[in-house]
Amino acid sequence: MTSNPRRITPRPWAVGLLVGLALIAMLSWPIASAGMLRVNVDEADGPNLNIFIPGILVNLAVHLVPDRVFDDIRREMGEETAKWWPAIEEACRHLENCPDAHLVDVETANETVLVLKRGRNLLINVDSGNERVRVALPVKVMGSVIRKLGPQD
Amino acid sequence: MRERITLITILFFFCLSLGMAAHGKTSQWLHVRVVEGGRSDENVSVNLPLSMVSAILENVECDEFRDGAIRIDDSEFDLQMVNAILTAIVDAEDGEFVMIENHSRYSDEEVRVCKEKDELLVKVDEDGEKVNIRVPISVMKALVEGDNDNELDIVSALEELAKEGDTTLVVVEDGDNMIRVWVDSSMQGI
Repeated sequence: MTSNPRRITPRPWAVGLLVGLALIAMLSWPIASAGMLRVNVDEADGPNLNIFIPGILVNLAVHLVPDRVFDDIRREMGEETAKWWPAIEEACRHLENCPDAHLVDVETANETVLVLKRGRNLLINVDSGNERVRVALPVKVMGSVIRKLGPQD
Repeated sequence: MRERITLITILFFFCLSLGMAAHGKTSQWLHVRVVEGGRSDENVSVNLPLSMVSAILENVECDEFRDGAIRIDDSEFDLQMVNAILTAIVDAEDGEFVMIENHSRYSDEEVRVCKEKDELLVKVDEDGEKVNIRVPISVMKALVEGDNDNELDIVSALEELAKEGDTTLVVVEDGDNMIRVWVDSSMQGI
């Protein structure tokens, strides 16, 4: 007497769930890896401003915006700024690999400016008398914008 | 099987520690602290990886600064003479080269330039304002050994500085005010 091996037939809902999860993972990875651009301004006597822009949108914009727009910005910046652009690009490239650190810290009697690298972000914190500004820039996104704005070969 | 897993784990941690050691050795940081006491009470602190500073300077292209070197075309500033003096200092034995003491009614001044253990030291004490500059000789050598006579090779000097390890380059003290520039392997600066 021989017993037939049991055949496992995949259920359609299970296959659908797996494919769905794989798709979500595939789509969320580039969104998560590009990070989030955050700007938060708290004013004592004014409205608070909070801006959140997914880095992937900035990357998309860099690729979708017509080149002539970047040409105009380059022209506006002038030749003097263009001279410094390779150095700025290099600084960005190094920032990507730079470990977490307090890069610049300025403290005066009524103002504090702090520039630090945390994970994949460059954080700029400004605290003055009645204003508090927090900016988080994903370094990779910043790099792609700066590369696009730089002189094109 | 178990032995193989143990071996792989040991190898993994060995490679990780080697990598961390190599990373720690090569990543030097340039620190600048400015403390302004008195009424203004201002503190500035800058911490940048030395490799980043070198890479940025290598890419700066402006009139006087190109290819990581400062070009000095001032006819009054004889860079060839400066180069000759620096080369003489590099080749000289340890000792005191300059000692100026001026303790008069109007000023109290002391300047000392000497070479000590492969470092050039400049100490200025003028009416309570103290300036201490310490430059490794290898850094000075790299500075003057550029391709052209009228250039100071800043990037080569920084590369040499990175090899030197922890070094305090400049300390300026004037009452409540202080400026300090130094290189070490810590990110915050000790």
